[in-house]
Amino acid sequence: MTKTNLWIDCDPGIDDAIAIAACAASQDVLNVHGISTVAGNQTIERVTNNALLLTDFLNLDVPVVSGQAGPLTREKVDAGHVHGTTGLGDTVLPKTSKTVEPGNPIVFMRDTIMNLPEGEKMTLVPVGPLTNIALLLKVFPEVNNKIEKIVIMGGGTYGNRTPTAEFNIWGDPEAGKMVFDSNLPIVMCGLDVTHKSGLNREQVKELYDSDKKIQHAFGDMLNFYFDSPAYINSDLVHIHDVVAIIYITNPEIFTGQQVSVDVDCTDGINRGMTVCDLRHTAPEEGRNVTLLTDLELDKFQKILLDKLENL
Amino acid sequence: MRNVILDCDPGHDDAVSIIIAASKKSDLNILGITTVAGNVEVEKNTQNALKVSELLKLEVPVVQGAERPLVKQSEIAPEIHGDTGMDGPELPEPTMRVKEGHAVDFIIDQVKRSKEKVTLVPTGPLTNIAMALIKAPEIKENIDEIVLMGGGTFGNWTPAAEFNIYVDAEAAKVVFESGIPIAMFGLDVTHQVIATPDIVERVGKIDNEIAQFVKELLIFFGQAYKDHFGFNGGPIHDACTTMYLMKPELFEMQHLNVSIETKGEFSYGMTAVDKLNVTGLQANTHFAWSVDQDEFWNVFEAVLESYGEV
Repeated sequence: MTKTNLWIDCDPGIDDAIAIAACAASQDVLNVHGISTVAGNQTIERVTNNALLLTDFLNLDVPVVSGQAGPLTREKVDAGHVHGTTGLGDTVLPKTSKTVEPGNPIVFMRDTIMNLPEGEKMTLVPVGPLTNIALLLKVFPEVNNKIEKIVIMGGGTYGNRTPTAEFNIWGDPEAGKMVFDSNLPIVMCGLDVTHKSGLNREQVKELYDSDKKIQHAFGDMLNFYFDSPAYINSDLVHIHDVVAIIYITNPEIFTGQQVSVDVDCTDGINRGMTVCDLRHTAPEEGRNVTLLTDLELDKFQKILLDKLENL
Repeated sequence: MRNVILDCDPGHDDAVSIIIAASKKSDLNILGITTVAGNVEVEKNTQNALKVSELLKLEVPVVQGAERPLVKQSEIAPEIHGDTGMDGPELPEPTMRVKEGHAVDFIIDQVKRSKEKVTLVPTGPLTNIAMALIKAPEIKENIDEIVLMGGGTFGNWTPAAEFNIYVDAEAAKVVFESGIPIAMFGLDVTHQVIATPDIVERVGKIDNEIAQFVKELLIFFGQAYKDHFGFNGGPIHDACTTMYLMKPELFEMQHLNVSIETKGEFSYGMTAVDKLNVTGLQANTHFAWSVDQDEFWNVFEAVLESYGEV
């Protein structure tokens, strides 16, 4: 079986960290070509540093490029309180001597994609604001033919940053619009499905109690979530970004529907909303997005824990 | 008894809503019916309100209201309701006459005069209600609740917006920001009360004139919904409002903030429902998520049967 060629675009971030870990644990089926960072959860300096620390910690030997420091057209707003002092909760990973690839990050992404062997394509997995991906598609349209699909963590039929907008898309709506309007096949792992996924307290405790340093570190990060006000009464901690990776390795545990999506970029209260046309009578044309709506939670948990266990 | 003004654009489901309100099963004192441009032009909606009143022998004032939205041009939905706005059943030309004056003044006058607080029940675009609140803001104190059909977390007229709110989003904004308690029945709940062929058959078995009229309404409405939305019957959206006034316990409600989008390119006219309370804005709406469907239709059947009792 040929492996899925993967490029990860992220803003680590606790859930990004676990997504990268899931990639590191899935190299039997995934060929991870690299990681680009984007300002989102934290500043670009911090998320890039975290990406370097994480890849080293996980022995994931892939290039890291430092991407855009803010959205295409607006000033940046970060979500520091959600991800703690280091951006990985309060977890401190061992120092690393690893550095980012020199040169322009978008050019690096383009070259990596175009250098794939003939007949092979790249799956892009953006789990932060879509700034880098929008620029890549805009500046180097030749990559279109070398992209298999784009599996996005973002959006959904409702919001968490505002009532109607999810944080990542809200972080750069104009970039979101460019990507959703690209007509490339898109899978949207939005809040509809990520809010049904996650690990429970017992599972997180087991990770935390592990005497292996990687499992313990991720248990520590997830405890940070559980200790936050949002989860105080919850038995399930959502790990949004990892859903995109599990979808790629195990699409059979998910359900979804084909829809067309418009991203609202106006200055109203719905700025950054992914407007999904769910009507039975919506035109067939333009339904380039698979909106994930549900998953089998017990299977999801087993798959994720098995992956983390094997690191 | 609760004093209500039914502000509507009949309309198949508006007619059903009036029938519930006027039945002896409900405990509502209908102060009047006001009409608004919506499903079709206001004159047609008024004519339909008169026809339904006459059929029900409901002797309350019918007053015509706004013929267009506050800011936008009119938009109507004859493909859903037919050219008359209530295609399907044949009713005679009414002998009842529309009451002189404008619905907005009627609403203001009735609310001011009422000893008990008044509940407004808008089941069309919110133009009349917004105009009344702008013209006479002091009436707020004597309105205990606005029980409306409109909006939801998804749309029917556009992907994001429901017809009533879309037609006059600016009016909706005025109403939702008024501070008056709102009970909102949007598509999330109204799409749970679809008059499927089974329901239409149950209604058809009820042997009285009103039930037979409702059957005819539901047949036309169901076909339109099948043709235009791919549904297995017509959702009797507006009936949720008066059913709620009669049997609130059938509905699962959440108190939350709803804001109206009046700018969005793709989401203009959407009701942004803050179900996770991410805005921190004060809750202004009791939002209906779901209804006990079996019980809804049982009560509905009993309402229609009551029209055959002497």
